[in-house]
Amino acid sequence: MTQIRALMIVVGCFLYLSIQIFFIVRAHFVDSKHFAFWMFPESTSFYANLSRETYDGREISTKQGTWVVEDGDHFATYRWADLVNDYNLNVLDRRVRSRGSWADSERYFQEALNFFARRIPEDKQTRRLVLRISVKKAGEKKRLVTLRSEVRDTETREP
Amino acid sequence: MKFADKIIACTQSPGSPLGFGLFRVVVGLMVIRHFFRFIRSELERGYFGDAFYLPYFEWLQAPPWQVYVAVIALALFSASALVAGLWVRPMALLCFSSTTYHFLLNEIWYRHNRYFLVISLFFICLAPTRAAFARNLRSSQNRPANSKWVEFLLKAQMTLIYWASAWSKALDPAWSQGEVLARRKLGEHAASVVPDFIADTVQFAFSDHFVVSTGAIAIELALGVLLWVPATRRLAIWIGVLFHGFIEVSASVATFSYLTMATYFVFADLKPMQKMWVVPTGNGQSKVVAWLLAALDWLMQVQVVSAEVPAPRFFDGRGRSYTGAAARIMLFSNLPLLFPLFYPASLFVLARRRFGRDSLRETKPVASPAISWIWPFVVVHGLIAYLFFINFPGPARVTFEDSRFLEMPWYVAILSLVALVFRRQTLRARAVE
Repeated sequence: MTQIRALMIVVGCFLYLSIQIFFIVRAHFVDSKHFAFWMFPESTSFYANLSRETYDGREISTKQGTWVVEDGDHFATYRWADLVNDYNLNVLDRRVRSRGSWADSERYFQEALNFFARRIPEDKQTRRLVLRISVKKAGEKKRLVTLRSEVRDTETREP
Repeated sequence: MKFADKIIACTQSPGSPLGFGLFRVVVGLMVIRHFFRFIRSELERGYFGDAFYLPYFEWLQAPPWQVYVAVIALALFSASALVAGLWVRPMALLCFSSTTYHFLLNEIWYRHNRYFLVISLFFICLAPTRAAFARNLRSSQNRPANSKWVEFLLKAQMTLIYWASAWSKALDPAWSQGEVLARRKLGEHAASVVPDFIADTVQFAFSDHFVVSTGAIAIELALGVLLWVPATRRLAIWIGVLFHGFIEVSASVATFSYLTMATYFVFADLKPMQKMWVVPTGNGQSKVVAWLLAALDWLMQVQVVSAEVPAPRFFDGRGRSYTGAAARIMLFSNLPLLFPLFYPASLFVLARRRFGRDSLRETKPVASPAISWIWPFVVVHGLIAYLFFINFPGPARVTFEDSRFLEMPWYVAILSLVALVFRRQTLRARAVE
């Protein structure tokens, strides 16, 4: 009985430590550093601006992710920060430090763009949303990243 | 002894229930802190499920807000029970499940400190923390429990964390050459919360980012090794406390610093009152020594006894006795505050084998002083020193981003309360024995 218990403990410890080591080693081969205890994986800052690409081909820049649309007899105001409010993804038009690795932030920005584009029903002009981001990673030069949301359902298009 | 026998012996060895008990208290406090931040944030911004979030698994979507509130309430309730030492095992499981569920709800919430909080709760579930420092166990804080292997696993986990962190920094040229820290502007951040004369020193210390980065990497690598060696463990703990304390003040990492330092309670191999400072019977200074030790020996490792001896002696945990200067060196190196000053000399004493194997025929404990006023004294002075530190010379400079500086005095007060309970339990256990 004692030996079986000891064996179970040894196997349990081995499995636990193997999983931890797996996450640490895996972090060297993937962009995301989750579960790997890479403290301060990098120091990256970014400056993001949200714009709307309309059905007529124009790209209209927003001020801090806010714009107003007229829908019949009333106006609807959309604010990026109302729906995207964590991980510094809410900060637009201002240079801000990226949390964790930039790869994660970029992925979250893309998901957030798609999420937001699905939640502007009264906007009949916007075909899709565009985020233009200037990224400065420690040890590298500034670069420009452009993210585009999925194209919105054409039924929402203004006749 | 065969290797297999050694492993079986390890799984049956008693660990440090008292260390795990103290670890449990800190983990409970950190769970409360963790969820309070979410509550504050969601009162401000609304329920997270109504905004953008990213679950780890497709099937794990945000629950109705009423369920979400209930989960947080359960986590807070079970964490409070862990702090108080009530129904420890079921509460540990409840706290672990609710915190893990909450952690997995949104990938964007991922932080290393939150992941480490989940890991810490996992260890609380594994370890026999109910055997120590619990409200319903009045005098059994040293009750043997087979937890050496949990201690081993926790130490291995800490080593992996230190090495993973150091390894990643060393491989990243931007980090190892100091650019990452330079862009973090740690010196400027620290300067916003401390008086000018300290800020100048801090900024000077941060001015050479290459040195600071290399130092941080070296400390992390060293801690992963030194914690395993009995002769250097206390040194590692001291360096670790300074290292994590400095990180918390200069760049808050939420619960991580507190949790890491709390693991040191487990590694310290606490055995209250096992070491002895022996004073000659009738010595008028014995009460002064007892008073000083009550104030300086925070983890109550040394007890003061009187016996028929010609001069004061120190007995370490292994029954070795020291006399003269060696006795004082060994005593002082066992007191947390004086440890760094006397640690090198204590190594010299051990290396030169300046100890004997005496045994005392009859000892009589010297009564510890009344403690009711000592801890309030320490707490109040700690708070005054702290408030002086952050406010002097002008008005308070604490901003919302630095809310941790407002929380720290509460931790001092709560942990002092924990120390008071610890002391009462230890004295009661000794009286029973």
